[in-house]
Amino acid sequence: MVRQKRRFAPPSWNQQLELARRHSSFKEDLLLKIETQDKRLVRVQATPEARTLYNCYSQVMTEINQLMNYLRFTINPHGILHVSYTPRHSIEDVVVAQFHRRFPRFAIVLASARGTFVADMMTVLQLTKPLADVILDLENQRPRDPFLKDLNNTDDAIWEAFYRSQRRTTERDPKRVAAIVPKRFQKMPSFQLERELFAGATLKPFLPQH
Amino acid sequence: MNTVEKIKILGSGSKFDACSCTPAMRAEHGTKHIGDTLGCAITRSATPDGKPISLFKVLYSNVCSFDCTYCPNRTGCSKQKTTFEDTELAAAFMKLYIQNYVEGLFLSSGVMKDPDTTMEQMLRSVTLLRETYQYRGYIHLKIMPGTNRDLVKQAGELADRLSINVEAPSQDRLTDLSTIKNLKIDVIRRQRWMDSQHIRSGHSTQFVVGGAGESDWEILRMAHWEYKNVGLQKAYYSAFKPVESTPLAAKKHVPVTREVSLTRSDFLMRSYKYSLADIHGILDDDGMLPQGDPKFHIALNEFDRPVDLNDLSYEELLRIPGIGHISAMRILRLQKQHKIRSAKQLHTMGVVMKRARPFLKLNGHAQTALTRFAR
Repeated sequence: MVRQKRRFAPPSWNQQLELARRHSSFKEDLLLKIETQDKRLVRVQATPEARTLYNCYSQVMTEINQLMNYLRFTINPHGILHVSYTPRHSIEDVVVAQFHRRFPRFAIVLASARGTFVADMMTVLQLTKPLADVILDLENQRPRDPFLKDLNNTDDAIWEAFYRSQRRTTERDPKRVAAIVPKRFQKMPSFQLERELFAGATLKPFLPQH
Repeated sequence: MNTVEKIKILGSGSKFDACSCTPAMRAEHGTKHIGDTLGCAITRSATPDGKPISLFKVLYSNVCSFDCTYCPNRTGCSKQKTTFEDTELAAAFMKLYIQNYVEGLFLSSGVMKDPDTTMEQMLRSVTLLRETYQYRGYIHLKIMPGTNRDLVKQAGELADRLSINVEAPSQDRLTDLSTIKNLKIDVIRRQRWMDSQHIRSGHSTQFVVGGAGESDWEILRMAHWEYKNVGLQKAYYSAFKPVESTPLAAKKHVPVTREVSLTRSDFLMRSYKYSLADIHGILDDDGMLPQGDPKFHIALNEFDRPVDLNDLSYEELLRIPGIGHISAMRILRLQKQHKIRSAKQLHTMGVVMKRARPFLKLNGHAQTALTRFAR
């Protein structure tokens, strides 16, 4: 019998540390304590501090993956994809960089309470300007993208038509829905349509962030 | 009719096609392309009934000349008919993809005039995406039964995954569902062609469970044959649901639990290498699977007393309910260092103790009486 192979190599210690540092409740004291501990125990998360560090890393990774799944962009005809959302942890630069690798021909802009993060021409910048000003600056730098000529309509009629066409009105499974899309992400502005149709109906009213 | 209205009709037509995003990772170089395929399955949303949405799943056209008795798009059906134009399908999909609403495209169709004409039109749309829009993401393309070899080859070059629906486990059963399709010529021959070329994420198929009154054993036997002989990557099982204005509208719907049991048994064959004989041992006289987890039922047949984990090999560990590939590897690693003595140790290694407990002996003691649990 063939054992299942890992699809990805596990991240190195330094990579884990770099991501754990982005956690909202990470403290440098934790590292000082871990440095005094037996490395073998730390590697298998056998000390409370090592476990805390691993949890920080794991939660940051989870949020990165969730943002990659559930962030939804607004298309600008100049090849700018932008969205406003404040993640729990400081991961905005990682997220815009990952999206830019996916869509290298577009500039990715993520506005959060920590600033406006831009990924363009393979570089990531953190700016203090508001989103509207950043988009204006980028529009001046970038010509209109011919591919987006037919795609830049601002309404979400296409998504609404598709989403409504896929649902089966006779069946409801709120638990399964919450397992696929965590409730926190269902509150994002772009999930308005789903929020109206999701079966749970226990979601708190949406509060805009910006 | 505008694009939005077409999506409402053609999206609804593809609602019962089973598929998932199963991409093989592809590295893209350069700055001109749009998108890529990730190495893991992604869901972007879910419908209220708990169905994940990862792909833009639509029909190219719901005009169909075939007479499948279960299908809402069959010839003569009174449903409103429409067909996409190449550019509008590509533009609608690209909009959703760039906005991050969907992870890829699933394109199926009714057989408009003949299979080749339909396939040619679908391929034109996909070529437009790949060449004009420089789209490098995931595409799952349905092959029409009876399509010629060149078009199948071209589809394999453009798409990440191909599929063709077997629908029923034998020609006799298929004849009950459609008088036009020939299982051996129209479907299996195309699967052999797909198998002979390199398709990045392989090819899959779908069965309509209960549409022609077949048993679970017939379906699993056919799926097993397909895995062995035509290089099938995955079989999907879709429980029959009667659709209005079709000849089978009055037929009773098949419970979703049957679809779940078949999917689980299929997974045991594919990933855990269970044999057909293992599955056959738990079937009832009518060839139907029992309610509940098939792995648990097979284990009840297999283990007459609880076993000590410390003596088991990787293959034997996998036969215990609640233990999967990852937890089996963790147990093996720990076996080399010291003996496993407590349920807590197993729980931390990812073993689902609720299922595994009756089959295990820890520290020399059985955890639960197997017979009592079985009852």
